[in-house]
Amino acid sequence: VREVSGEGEALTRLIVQHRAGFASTIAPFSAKLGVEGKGLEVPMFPKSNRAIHYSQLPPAEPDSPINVEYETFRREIGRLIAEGHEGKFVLIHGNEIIGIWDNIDDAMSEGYRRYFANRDPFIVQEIATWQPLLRTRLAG
Amino acid sequence: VPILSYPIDKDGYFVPVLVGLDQRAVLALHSLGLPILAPIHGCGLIDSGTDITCVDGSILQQYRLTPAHTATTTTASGRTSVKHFEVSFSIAPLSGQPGQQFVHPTLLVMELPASIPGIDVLVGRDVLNLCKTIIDGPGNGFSIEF
Repeated sequence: VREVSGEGEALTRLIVQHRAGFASTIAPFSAKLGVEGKGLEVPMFPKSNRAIHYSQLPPAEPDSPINVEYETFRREIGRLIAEGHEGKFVLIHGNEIIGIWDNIDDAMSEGYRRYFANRDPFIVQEIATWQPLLRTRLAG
Repeated sequence: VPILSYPIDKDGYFVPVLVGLDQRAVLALHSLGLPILAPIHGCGLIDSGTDITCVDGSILQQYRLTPAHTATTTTASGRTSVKHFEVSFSIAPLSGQPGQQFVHPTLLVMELPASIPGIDVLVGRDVLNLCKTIIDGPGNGFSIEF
């Protein structure tokens, strides 16, 4: 792994100077992914036919920097679904639910606004009965 | 239409990649007046058996990124929660060759559950679905159109 200053600086300049342009740049990607952007594009987990019920979510890895937040999500997701928040996105910091938003972009923006400067951990998770089960090269 | 062409390696379909801070992090650092780290060059392996692009933890740690999402995957030891990060991701032309980079300014990637020697990134179906990939086995090459 090495840092490529020339290419990297060029890409960084591109990101900083052409923020507005990115919305149109990524619009075809967002359309292909079946998600809608609203200025900034919306990163999402890829759609697949594999999913698990939220009650089957595995526990957090003990050494994970977001294990407290993830365990809070596991504990609270059933209640959030029962309260009618299916399809929305929850921002969690520590043991606290900070808020619920209709889209991931707004939830992430609030997380960055509150916690990014100090690199405090937070997570944004979709409130969904069926949670993504992703396949990787190392998967069974 | 930009086209990137590569030779087929005996160990798979390798592409040079760049992983960097995503646009949200770049803009946050910019607004705070903090330095912005340049993207890091690595070796990517095209892997259509992987749902989501995976990045080695050694790259992600260099940016002091904290994971923003979790999801579940299955490993040899059973289901496990894995960390996901938002990064910018590019596929570059071969060194010394002209060509436009494939750039995704904010891509959700999974941290590789375990390092793979010689591979920094598994380029998964999330990225492949945005491109047209043509494999020419007899010609010992492949190309990516986007």
